[in-house]
Amino acid sequence: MHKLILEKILPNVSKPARYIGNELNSVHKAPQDKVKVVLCYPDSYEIGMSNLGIAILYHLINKREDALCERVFSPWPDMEAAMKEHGVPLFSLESWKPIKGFDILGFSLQHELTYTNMLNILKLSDIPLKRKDRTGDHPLIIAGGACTNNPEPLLDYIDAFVIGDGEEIMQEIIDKYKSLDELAKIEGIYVPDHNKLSDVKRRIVKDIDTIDYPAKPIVPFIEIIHDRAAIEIMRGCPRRCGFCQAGTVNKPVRLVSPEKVISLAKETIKNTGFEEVSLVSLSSCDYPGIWEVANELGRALAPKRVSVSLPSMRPDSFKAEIAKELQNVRRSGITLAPEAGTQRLRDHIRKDLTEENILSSIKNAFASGANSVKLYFMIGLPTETEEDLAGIVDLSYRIIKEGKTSNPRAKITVNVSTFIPKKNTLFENEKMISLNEILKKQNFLKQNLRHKSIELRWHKAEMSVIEGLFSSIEAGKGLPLSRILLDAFESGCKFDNWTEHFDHLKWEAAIAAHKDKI
Amino acid sequence: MQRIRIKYKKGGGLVFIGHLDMIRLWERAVRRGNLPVAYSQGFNPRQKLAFGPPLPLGMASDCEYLDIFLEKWASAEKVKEDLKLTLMPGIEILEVSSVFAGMPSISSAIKTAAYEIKTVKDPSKKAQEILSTNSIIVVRKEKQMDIRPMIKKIGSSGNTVNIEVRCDNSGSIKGSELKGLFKETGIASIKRTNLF
Repeated sequence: MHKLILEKILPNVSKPARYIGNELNSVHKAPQDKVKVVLCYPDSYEIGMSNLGIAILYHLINKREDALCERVFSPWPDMEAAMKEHGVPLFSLESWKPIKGFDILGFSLQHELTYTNMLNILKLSDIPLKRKDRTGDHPLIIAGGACTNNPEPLLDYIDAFVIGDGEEIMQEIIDKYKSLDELAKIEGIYVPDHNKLSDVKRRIVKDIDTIDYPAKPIVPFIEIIHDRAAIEIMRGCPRRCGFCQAGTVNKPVRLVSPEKVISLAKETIKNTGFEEVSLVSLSSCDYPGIWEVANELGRALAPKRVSVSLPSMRPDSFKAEIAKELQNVRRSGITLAPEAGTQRLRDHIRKDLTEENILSSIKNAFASGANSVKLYFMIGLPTETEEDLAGIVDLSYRIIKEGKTSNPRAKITVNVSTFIPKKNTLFENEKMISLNEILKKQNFLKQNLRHKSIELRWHKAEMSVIEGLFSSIEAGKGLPLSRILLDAFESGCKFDNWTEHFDHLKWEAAIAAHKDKI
Repeated sequence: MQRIRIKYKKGGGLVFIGHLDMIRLWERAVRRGNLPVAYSQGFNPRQKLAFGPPLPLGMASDCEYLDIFLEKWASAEKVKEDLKLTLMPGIEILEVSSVFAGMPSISSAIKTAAYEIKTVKDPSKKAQEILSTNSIIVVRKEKQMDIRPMIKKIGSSGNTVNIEVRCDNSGSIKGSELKGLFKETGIASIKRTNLF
């Protein structure tokens, strides 16, 4: 199989480096007497390799003497076609062995629009899609990640769901993977037909400072989405925005100690040679002493020209005076998320930002040398009126006007997404607006938000509708989501979160087929 | 400033790593190896590295070159050891030497690239045909171009073709064009064997 892949398949596909494995710090272990785990993020290599959770679990599993962990990602359609042509099943990156031969296949499900890719991974591995059709000879199929908060649509396909933090639970799964009854006893695991979802207690790693984070993460050969050393500093978010699932499910807020953050970052740079360290959390400025940590790290890494970046920063926390003192620390793009256009709606969704905050932080950002700022808004939020929508336009104009006073070259990007009610949030029982309403609201913004220094971007409405269908408790009620998913997949849907691959007509047909039967 | 020249072999899965990715790979290796590399000035300082002509994607090579400019003196032997410890399989360092800082760049010193093409079918007739023809027209960006004058030497034995082509600022044959020459015989593998 090696020769076939090297000589016949890889020379004829785009970005063959996605499939070769052997990256620096990848782990290759002999399979004898080991529980063989393969972790999968069902999207392209570049997206999957940017997931910190996979990197942590890969390290923790490979540390065990009695287990090994390999990786697999979704082959791009040209690769899938080439593999089919030569009769090659989906193989892991490390050993180039078929996925079917592993003991455990673990999916990281972070986005509903990767569900068809998940099914495709099973199909390309020649593993029956439905759990009732699988036997003890097949790998145990498990799934974790944000999507398992709402496992219903996947009940037919996944053997066991991990709900909550994976670091400790993964070890217990490896010890007990042969028995579904045993797995069902583990805190944080839902095994359909073996325990009740309502009885499952979310698994929490109490002290994340004790996690053995990877200091030797894999260094990809090709540029990935987050192509840098990612160091987690905080899990959870002290803010309580009503729409945000990441904030509510990752409770309580837990911290990695500054000492550990700094030593781990230095060690990681030594072992990888990355040119950038990113301090990762849901809201970096809420980490106590964030500037001291970033500054100390920036100083320590300056001789190697390694920069420190802080994503998820609120501009109001970034004062111009501090900026001058900071050596080698940069924000990877300045972003601000007012989410709603009026104070009334921001208060309603519990977004803790006033217009004064917004404008003064914008002023700061542009005064400290920035040329562009990204803004995030949502349409279709609960109680939204025409006034709120017009508020997005007004606020954007006021922001650009304010920006221009301190920097004549100021530019803003206005990103508009559609509110999707997610389980476990304050708004889980709210309704999502319809496709027509999304298009109407997007159109209003396109018509009214016209300025040479404002770029308007929006999420494709049809994609949001499908994401909503699989996310919320309300939207899917009465619809057999698991069968709609299968129909859509079998009619050819995959890579649904890629605009160029998303096929709305196929999804509509799959939904219509089941609506008619009710 | 000290200039260190490295000659290395590239093979295995790494044949699928393109030129820009190789540049990043070397920058990271230099950082891991703690070499006292010089940096460019400015807002986004870059390591001072200079590479030879890009190797087309999918090809192995016995003769890739790069120059590393060091801020502080280090022995060639030490640089070799430091890099060896941190490079991955697929890259094999052949030679490391300290060269005169004012020497012309790698790419301007090189005039010719030699390739070894392993074909599926007997290539001798095709090789003869290329030798005896006066022009081979290819299309580049909708413009016609004659690549025959760029072919300096060609010979075959068994299923192996050895070909020498022009490789300088006045124009080089692209990897895809090289493959195109032996489309009919099928190509099992291509390797760059020399640059001079």
